[in-house]
Amino acid sequence: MEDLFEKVNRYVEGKMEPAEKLDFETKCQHDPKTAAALKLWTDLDELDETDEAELRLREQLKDIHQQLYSKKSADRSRFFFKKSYWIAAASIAALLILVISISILSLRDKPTGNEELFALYFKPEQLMQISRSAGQPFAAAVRLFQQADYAAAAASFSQLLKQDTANYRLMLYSGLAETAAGNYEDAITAYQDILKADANLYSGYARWFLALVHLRTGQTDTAIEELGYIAHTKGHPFNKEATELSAILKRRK
Amino acid sequence: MKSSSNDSVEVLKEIAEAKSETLEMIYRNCYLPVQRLVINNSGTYADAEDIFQDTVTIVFRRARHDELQLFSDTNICTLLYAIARKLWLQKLTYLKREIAVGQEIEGVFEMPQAIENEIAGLESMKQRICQKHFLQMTEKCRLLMKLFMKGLKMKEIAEIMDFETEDQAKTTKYRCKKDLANRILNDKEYKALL
Repeated sequence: MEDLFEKVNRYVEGKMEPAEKLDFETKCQHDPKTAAALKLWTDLDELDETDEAELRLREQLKDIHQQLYSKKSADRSRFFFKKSYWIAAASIAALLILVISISILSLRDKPTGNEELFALYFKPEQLMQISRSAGQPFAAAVRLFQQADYAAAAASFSQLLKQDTANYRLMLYSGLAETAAGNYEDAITAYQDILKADANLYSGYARWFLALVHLRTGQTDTAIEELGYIAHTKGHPFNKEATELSAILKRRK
Repeated sequence: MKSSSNDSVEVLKEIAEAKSETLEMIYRNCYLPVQRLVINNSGTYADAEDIFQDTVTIVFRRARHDELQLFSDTNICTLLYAIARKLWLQKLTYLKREIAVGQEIEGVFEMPQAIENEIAGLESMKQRICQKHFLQMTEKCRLLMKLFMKGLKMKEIAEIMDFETEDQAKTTKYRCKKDLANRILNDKEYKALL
């Protein structure tokens, strides 16, 4: 049976008998799909250099996306498809089984409650740094945090936020200080404010620390949900940690 | 990430030139928030990739039209996020998919009218779908169609692509075009626009 576009092409190229042509034109008036096919067919012939440049751009973007977000999985599949690596893979698997068994045995005596897990993963020190452009009050607040005076640091960041309400870095630092001080409700608010705002560079961190606070406050299911999201976000700064923690929580459940 | 007016204009100029380093930089800095927006609002990872491509293409087009002043005061990531958000909201409306309540679909900044038109124009929407399907064709078809768009004659295309005859090039072009047209016409979003 003739394809719709074969018919359209014959019409466009003037290869139809008069009766068939009339019939086709009538169909175009009553059938939106045929009319759309005809328009599409002619539009595709009108694509020019501008379209070509945009298509080239899209090809470039597609390549970048694959490079940045599919590289790891591609490397992994290449590795596994090479026959010579199977023996190495089998040895690694055996070794892993041994390591996991030992870990499970040793974990039996270790605390794996939410509090302990939170303490294990909550590491804000690397993030809490004074940038060269930071003002005096900001630097002072960071120093308070570094001196482990978390309550004072939280109060200072909160003060600074009143003057600079859309500063996401400040919001994150405020959240971290509140978390460290044990003011979890305020910390949740700070992280959620970052996530509710428009695109910003701190949302990845906010989601991770929000998950940790949920964990710490016993909202394990919510924490697992957040961690699942992070674990599935390629390129997320805490992708590895979230996968790990989420697996521990699920296993414990 | 560059953020002053001059820096934004510079980045936009480089986008207009499709400079690889700049495209990679904006991907590294601006993609994840867009991905989060789409995923959190009934989308998939593939949807996020499409939306980001559409977004950069819109900026590329406006920048090539020397409309850099439209964005000179805006951080490039904020601009891309705002456009992506509009595009995704529009797509959800056309596909009648659910918008997650209370999430990020909120106002970001005043969008220039030229961009609004670009996003919402029916022909622009169809063009975006067409470009998306173009990328899914075989490499051979893409090259042939691109040479054709560049205005090369079938004889020249046949020579470049090592076809034995001009007729062979014509037949291949017809097959490629038919494949592309079928993909577009069967696209759910395209159907919703008819």
